[in-house]
Amino acid sequence: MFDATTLAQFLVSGLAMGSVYALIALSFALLYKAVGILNFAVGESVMVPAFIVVILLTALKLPFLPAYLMIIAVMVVFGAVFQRTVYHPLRGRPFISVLVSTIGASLFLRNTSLLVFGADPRVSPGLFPVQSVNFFGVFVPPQYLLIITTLIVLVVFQYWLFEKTLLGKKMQATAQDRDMARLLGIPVDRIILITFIYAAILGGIAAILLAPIFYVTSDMGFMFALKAFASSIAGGLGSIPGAIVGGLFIGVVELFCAAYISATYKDVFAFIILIAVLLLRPQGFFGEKVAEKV
Amino acid sequence: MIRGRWMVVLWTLFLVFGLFLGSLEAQTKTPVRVGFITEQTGAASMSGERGIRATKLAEKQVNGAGGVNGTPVEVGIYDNNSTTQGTVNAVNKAIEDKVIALSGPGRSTHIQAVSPIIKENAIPALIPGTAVQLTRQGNPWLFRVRPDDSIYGTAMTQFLMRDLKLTKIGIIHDADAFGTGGADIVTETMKKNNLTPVRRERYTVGTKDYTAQLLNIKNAGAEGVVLYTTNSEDAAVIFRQIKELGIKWKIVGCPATTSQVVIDLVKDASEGAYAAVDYFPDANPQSKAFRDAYFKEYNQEADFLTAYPYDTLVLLVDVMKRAGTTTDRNKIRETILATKGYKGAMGTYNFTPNGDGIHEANLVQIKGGKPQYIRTISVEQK
Amino acid sequence: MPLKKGLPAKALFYPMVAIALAALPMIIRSNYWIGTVNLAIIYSIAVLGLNIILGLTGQLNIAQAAFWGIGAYTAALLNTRLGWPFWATFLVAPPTAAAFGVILGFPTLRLSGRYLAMATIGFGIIINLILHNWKEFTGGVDGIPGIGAPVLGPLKFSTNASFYYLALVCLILAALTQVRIKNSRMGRAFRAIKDNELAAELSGVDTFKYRVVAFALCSAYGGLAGQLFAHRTKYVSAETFFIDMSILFICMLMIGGAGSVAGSIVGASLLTFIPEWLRFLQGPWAMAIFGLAIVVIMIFMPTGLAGLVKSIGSKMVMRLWPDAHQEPAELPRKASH
Repeated sequence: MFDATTLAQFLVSGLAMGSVYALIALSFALLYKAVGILNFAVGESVMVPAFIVVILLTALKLPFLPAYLMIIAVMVVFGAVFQRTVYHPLRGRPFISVLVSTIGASLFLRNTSLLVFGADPRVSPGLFPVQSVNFFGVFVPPQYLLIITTLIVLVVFQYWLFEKTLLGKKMQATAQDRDMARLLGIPVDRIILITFIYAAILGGIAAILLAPIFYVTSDMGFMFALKAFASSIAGGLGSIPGAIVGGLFIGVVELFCAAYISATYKDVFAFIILIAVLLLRPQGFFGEKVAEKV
Repeated sequence: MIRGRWMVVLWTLFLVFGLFLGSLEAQTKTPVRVGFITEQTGAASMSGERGIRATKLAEKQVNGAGGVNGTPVEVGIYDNNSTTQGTVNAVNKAIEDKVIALSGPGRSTHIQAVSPIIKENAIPALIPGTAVQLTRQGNPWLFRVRPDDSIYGTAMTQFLMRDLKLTKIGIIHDADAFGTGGADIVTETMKKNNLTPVRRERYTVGTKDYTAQLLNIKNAGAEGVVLYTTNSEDAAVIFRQIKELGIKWKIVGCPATTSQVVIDLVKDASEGAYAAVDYFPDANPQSKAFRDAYFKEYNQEADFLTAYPYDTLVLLVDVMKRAGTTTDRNKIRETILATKGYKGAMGTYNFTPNGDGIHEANLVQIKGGKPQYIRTISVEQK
Repeated sequence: MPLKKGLPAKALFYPMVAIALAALPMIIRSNYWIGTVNLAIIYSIAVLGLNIILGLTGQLNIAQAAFWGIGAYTAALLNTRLGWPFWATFLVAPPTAAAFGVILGFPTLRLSGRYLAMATIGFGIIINLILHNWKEFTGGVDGIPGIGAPVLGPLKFSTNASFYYLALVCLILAALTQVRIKNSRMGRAFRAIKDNELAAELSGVDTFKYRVVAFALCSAYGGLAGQLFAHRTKYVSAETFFIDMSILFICMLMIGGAGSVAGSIVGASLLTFIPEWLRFLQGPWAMAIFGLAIVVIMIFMPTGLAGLVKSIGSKMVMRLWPDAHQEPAELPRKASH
């Protein structure tokens, strides 16, 4: 039970799931940091492109690369539309208004997807066959490796984007102090739009990675979103590295708890961590000290 | 305050008007109506969809043959949204609409919940739920049209022990009444042969990742595994992950593991797995005829999800004909119990006094993406 | 001719409504529809609770279904395992739910509202999973069947029609209590927190205390709704009390009108009846429309239907009865004493 191979297996599977959570948490944390909103519909930004991936690959039989590029294009539109309809009209209002609005959007998207695509779970063909690579007795599905690799690439890319490019710096400035950014001549509205689009693209990437290993259903986004919230809080709300660490942390801990404590309560652990963090260290791993009461 | 009052007035008028409209609708009568309680929406709607098609096919067939001595039969679909609460609502609505009998609900958990309502309203319900206690709780209005879990569980375990000659057996099952009850029966059957399961793992229905459960069973040294899943969707993920983890077990599953849903989703990951099923197309002439008719109508393979709703309606119509009534529920009840040797697509029905109709299961193996018939196992029922 | 202001209208109005409500089961003879009314009443009570924390105090609670569930399971367990009668569960269920509310609220309400929202999500999921899986205590997936119908002395409320009266009385009491709260000092504190928490804090309002109180009230209402629910359906099962229902409660409140007592009731009733009236609107159609309605309402009509009716109603009144006495909408805010 505690031998190296089993532990390694759990670790690998945990990291893979954790990378998925991290990706989605990344999209969530980005919007929180840059725009100050909690996006309840972040799961749907994965679910919608997942369905489209399935349709492009199975019904239209497109090859992988064009299909994936089309998904990115679709998510650009999705992000823009989402920003314009759900966020922009409410931009002056307290964050609760936007949160409730995203709750409505999530409900709408989930059920519209059910009506359009039906209740049948869909399978997406993947880049790899269902055959694991065997590393010294640890079975690693190649898709897991792809997910972990993509996460690393994205983290590096995002670091470069935020620290080394002008656009990234503008995004950071807008995030820190919107009025000041406006005074400096930064087109704040446009930057916010770009942020939404980028977050949506992250969702699309998550969808591309997830579709081959999870059956695509209308409610798949919902549970992932909840885990993403937990990851973000654990890592520190508003912290980008926190979202990633939080996601990986929850992915791994959840699996170990399921194996060694109770498999039936598997989903609970992520939320126990969430509540525990809120009680003991609300700023999570990397967040700034949370001001009380306001 | 004037404004507050406007609200109250509007609301009351609105409520009364709407309720009046609604209650008018409920009072209209229809010819022999059978209520089909099913998962039209919600988590299990994929399975529910198949049942609806099958029932509609049966409706078409019986009406084409003259209905019940000239009276047409109408099937009312009552959606339970795949939840227990929804089932309670659906059954109440069906009873309100004055159906003569109920087909379903399908899941043992749901049936458990509405059993008191069915008893209180004295309405016959033909149920496919396989949890053993359903027909042993003193409700004379429940009639089971599928073999119960003791039959599957016993057949599956006997097959593993005797045919496959395995002693190290693990169980993975869901936390539902069906899964847990099934796992209990397997454990009991093994005990009678001086064996214990090497590991028993439970999961909540709808779980997306089974790495923990599967590895725990593997590490306990299992050579064979019994799979007791309520949802075909879950079974699909389990099959895929077993393959991904490189585990080689002899698998014997409950009927849900062989449904077309699973095979379509996992392609070859369930190849070689065994299962105990009730309905099997090649088992007898009626089952073959049903499969052909279903394929002709819907261009889809029939499976157990489709067979039992079909059989239920056809059986009900036959019962009503023999009983000579479309309104006397008591007579219908007596006639069902008196049914012996009735050959349906599910097998041969011999109703015992407590309402169980079928006492046999078919053992199959998935080969080439299709279940292949091995043999039928009959089990003595007390 | 303008309606004479004052007494005649008022004197007629309330008795009229009372008679209409009392006669409802005799007008609507269908057992099923009365049952639906009962469900709408139960939902209304839960939504009224949500109104206190969200509508009045401006804090988002996405776990109202969990408190509803706690109330329901408390009643179910006490009734089936210990044989407690209705009036006993009635007294115990709401405070039990409120206790859970305080347990959740105490640590998290120290933080800003965002954290409360997230915490309620986690809490709701944990409660649901425990109810669903702890078979020994909660019956697990099988739920708890066989809950007794409400009995108060010689009165038995076992039919839908009789239950209706019981539930209606509960609803009226719950609504009137909330109106009182709204117009009390506590209500003003709630509103102050909603408008500007920092300013409220600076002017001496103990925002933490009031937020906990609001949250406890919200969960108490939820618990009451749950207790009624358990005795009505006589069966509880965990899947009913899931975050989807919490979201639906939020929809009901926002559409009806956050902050409004009548709005809470209207929102709950509408969203219970519309899927029943319009059969084709069952399931995903209804939910998709509700979701869309939320977004539209947040943008264009944040005060929901109640706000809409208020503005139309007041315009109508001004046009028809320009001389009619208008009570001011709210008492002028006195400086805090």
